[in-house]
Amino acid sequence: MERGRISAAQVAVLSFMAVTATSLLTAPTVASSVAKQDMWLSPILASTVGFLIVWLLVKLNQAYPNQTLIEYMKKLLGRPLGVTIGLLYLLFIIQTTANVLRQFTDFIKMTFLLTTPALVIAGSMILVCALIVRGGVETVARFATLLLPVVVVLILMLYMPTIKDINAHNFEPVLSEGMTPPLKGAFRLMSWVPVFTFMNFYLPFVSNKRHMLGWAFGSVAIFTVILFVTFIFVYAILGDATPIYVYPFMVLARFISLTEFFEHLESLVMMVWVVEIVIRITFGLFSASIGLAQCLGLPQYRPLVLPISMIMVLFSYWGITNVEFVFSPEIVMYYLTFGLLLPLLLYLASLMKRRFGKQQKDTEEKGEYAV
Amino acid sequence: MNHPKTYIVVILLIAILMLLFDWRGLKDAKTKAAYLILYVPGVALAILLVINPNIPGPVQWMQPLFQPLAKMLFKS
Amino acid sequence: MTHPKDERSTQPDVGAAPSSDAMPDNGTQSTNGSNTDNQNQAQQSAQQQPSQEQKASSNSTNAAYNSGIQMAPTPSVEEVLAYQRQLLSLPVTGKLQDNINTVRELFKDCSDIIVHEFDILNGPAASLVYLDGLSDMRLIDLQILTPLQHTGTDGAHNKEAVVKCVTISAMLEAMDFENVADKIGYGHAVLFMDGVTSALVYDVINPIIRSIEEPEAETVVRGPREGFVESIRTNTTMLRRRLHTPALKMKPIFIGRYTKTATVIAFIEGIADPNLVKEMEGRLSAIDVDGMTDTSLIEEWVEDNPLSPFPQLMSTERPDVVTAHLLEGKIALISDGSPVALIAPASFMSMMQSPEDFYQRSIVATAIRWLRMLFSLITIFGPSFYVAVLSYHQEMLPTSLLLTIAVSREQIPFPALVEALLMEITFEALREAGIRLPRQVGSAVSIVGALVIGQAAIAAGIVSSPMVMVVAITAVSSFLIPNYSLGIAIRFIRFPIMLCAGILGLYGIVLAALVILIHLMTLRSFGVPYLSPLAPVQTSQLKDTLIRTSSPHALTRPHLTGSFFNRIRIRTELYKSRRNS
Repeated sequence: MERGRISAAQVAVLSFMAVTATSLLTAPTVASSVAKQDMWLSPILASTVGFLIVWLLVKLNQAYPNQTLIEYMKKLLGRPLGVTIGLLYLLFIIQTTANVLRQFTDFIKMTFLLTTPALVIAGSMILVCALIVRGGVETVARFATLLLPVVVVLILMLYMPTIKDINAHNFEPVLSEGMTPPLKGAFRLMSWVPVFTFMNFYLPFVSNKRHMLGWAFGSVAIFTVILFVTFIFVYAILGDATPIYVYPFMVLARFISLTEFFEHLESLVMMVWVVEIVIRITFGLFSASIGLAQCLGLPQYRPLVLPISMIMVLFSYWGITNVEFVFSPEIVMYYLTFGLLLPLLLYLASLMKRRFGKQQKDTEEKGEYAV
Repeated sequence: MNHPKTYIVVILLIAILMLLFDWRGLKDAKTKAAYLILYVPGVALAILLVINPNIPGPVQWMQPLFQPLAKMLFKS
Repeated sequence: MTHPKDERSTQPDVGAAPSSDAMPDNGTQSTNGSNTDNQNQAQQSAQQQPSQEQKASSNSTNAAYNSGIQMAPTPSVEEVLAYQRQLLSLPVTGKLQDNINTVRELFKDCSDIIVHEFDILNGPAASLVYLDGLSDMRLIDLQILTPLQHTGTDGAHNKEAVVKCVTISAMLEAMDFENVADKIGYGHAVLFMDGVTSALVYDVINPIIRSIEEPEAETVVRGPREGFVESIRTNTTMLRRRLHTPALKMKPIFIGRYTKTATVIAFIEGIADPNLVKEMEGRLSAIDVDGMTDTSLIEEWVEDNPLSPFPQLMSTERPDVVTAHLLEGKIALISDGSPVALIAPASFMSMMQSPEDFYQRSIVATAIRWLRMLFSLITIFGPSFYVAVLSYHQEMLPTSLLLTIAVSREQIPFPALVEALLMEITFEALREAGIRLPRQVGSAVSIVGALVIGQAAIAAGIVSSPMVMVVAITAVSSFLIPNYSLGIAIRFIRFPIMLCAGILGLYGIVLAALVILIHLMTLRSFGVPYLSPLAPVQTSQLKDTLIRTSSPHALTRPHLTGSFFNRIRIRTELYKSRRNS
């Protein structure tokens, strides 16, 4: 189905850039609304879940090296159940990616292209992503690695000039209400962290599997660091006004004024974001396409890319009245169910199977003797 | 949605272009079936969404499923 | 005609088509001819043709040409082709007169053929055939005719005696007329002798070529100043003069049924991947065309994605560039009649390098390289950025600058997009005119162009002065791209980007840039990714991509395809030890 080979580093870069995508812009608002001045602790707490997910995926991949989650789920749970849960899981992938698309469309419509129809924005975006996904897994992975320096430079360009505006007093008092607010904040961040599960669709194509666990942990770690730094910057500058803004990172960019000439660098944020969102959507779109093809046992996934992209555009509007809904606790639970619980159950199932599989084998052999 | 008719025309146009673009690549019957299962409801849903943007979607359906869980976790 | 390919070919194909294809056709053709022998006649002179030599081949064909002794209508193309094919398939016979007749028949109506019949002193009767002008008369007179007619063979009637007598070392032996015709066509002199069943082919090609000049499209300040010329032999010599090693291989291949363009695949054995050479040979041998007039046409046949605007083979006129790339394990394609060599596989970044980079100090060269990349970005995005900012993102500009621009645009009737497109297209037209016009008129055009684009258009209120500035910067920066075909591609893609900018603003620019990036990423040149050292990242090659390291630090050859074997290109132990002591 897909012959491409990618490296562990590429998967790591791809997944951390994809997960960082929307979180960079909207996570500060969401986290600060519950965690206030202790929000900087949330990413670190949230990262534990990330590490757990990634560990489960790598372990599962070690057990089934050339299979994606869909495939080994079919094996572990049996065909009917596997296909059913697989389809639900794919729905989850499409839904999360559609949510991201919706956030992005709203962002562009609110800040830059006020009169352009949403269909044009979402459609052009998804077309670019479909183009990448049709190029195969190598293109998807290479695209992220190629744009990593661009994104890093642009983000640094946004951070650097704001250093002088940092007000460390904004973080006081530290942990005044105990660990509950940062934990709540970390829980809210779970609308991003479970996206790491999509990684399982890329692991079978990794050529240097030996280094996979290290790179996967590194991926989560870098994600945590980026989110941490962003939270620090945003809260240090905006203070308790952070939850008011929908896109605090944009406000940060408005603060920038270099030599009175480079002002209003919101467009830079937009550029970073377009690139990041493209990576995030390709991350999901490739997973959904190859997952669906494997779920239904099709020989090719490329023909499915365009219909799935169409469905993603539709899902980004279907029944979602406002973007804030995306961060609601129900959605977080939904994400966690499929992002954390499903791999965990599969891992347990694989452990069980390994244990009982041995006995089964024995009985099978006995059976053969009997015949 | 000011002009539903133009939207529907545009969507149908895109849908037809998409089908033309993809049809040659659909070799075996299984893929064709899978494609159409995604494609036909997709186009229908697109037109429905243009006519009435507020149809309840999958998000509304799963809300009651996860709400109790979320509440339980948040209380504790 | 069973094989459509053969309808148009006079000779059995040299390329991919197996020669057996042409042979069975002879049979079918001849029966054709006998059926319709009354109404048409092959050639007038066919009647003079002695029939003995044709009897040797086939009787039915004879009928076609002999029965029409009465004046008949002109022969059809099919018959002419069949007749030519039949002539070419004849072997060289022992009878001199037959051979002469066949040659005369083959080169009928060729006013420049010379058939010199003479008797070798104390030897057999002989005949020397060559094309006037293509062959060097002086050589023929001095080295072939003088010895043969003055020294002679001392009564021996065999070919060894003649070979001993003639004082030209470049000699071949031809057994059939296909070979003979090819050699005569290339300017060789062919010697037929009575009683010898092969012809002797002497290389007396008259090398009329223009002198070696500096290539105008790729000039350097410091570095060699010679460029390829139209003669393939001179070009391969220039390569050989730089690579004095038997490892420099030059595999010949002839392309085109009529042009029979000599093409050479040059590579260094031991560095170049053998599979790459094989792949190139395979692609070249699949070309079956009437004529191949230039390497750029070969490029269209062998490239991976013909629809892409980006060149997938690097073209250069400089032997030093070809040498450098050969040493990196790439392969070069040199074709007769074209001063441009092709280098494969080519990557985007290798085309962004100028030969000058390697002749200047590495730090300076790195800086220039960065400058070049920066300005290529400006070429691509400059006008579209201007359009996007003016149409959608006015807040990005500082207030004072925005006011200035607003004032200058007050009178302009067009939106920014139309203005930009207008100016850019005008500029492209002027550039094109500047190239095509005779050199004396060229300067006039540039003056008029400058006036039209610049002063007059602004004064007339058609374009704003900032737009002119943007166009001017774009124009200048587009010429910083060293590779001409890549420059054209980059200049071309800025128009779609401009349209995207007009529709979606900066978002459109980013999307368009991403689409181009995706296209470049999926593009491959002979299996090597087009953005090779950058995506996928090959850290060992970044030394000669983003920066240009000094020569002693470029330790390894780039890895293109195949194995990692034999990667170390220099040994620096001695250099380092001498430095440290």
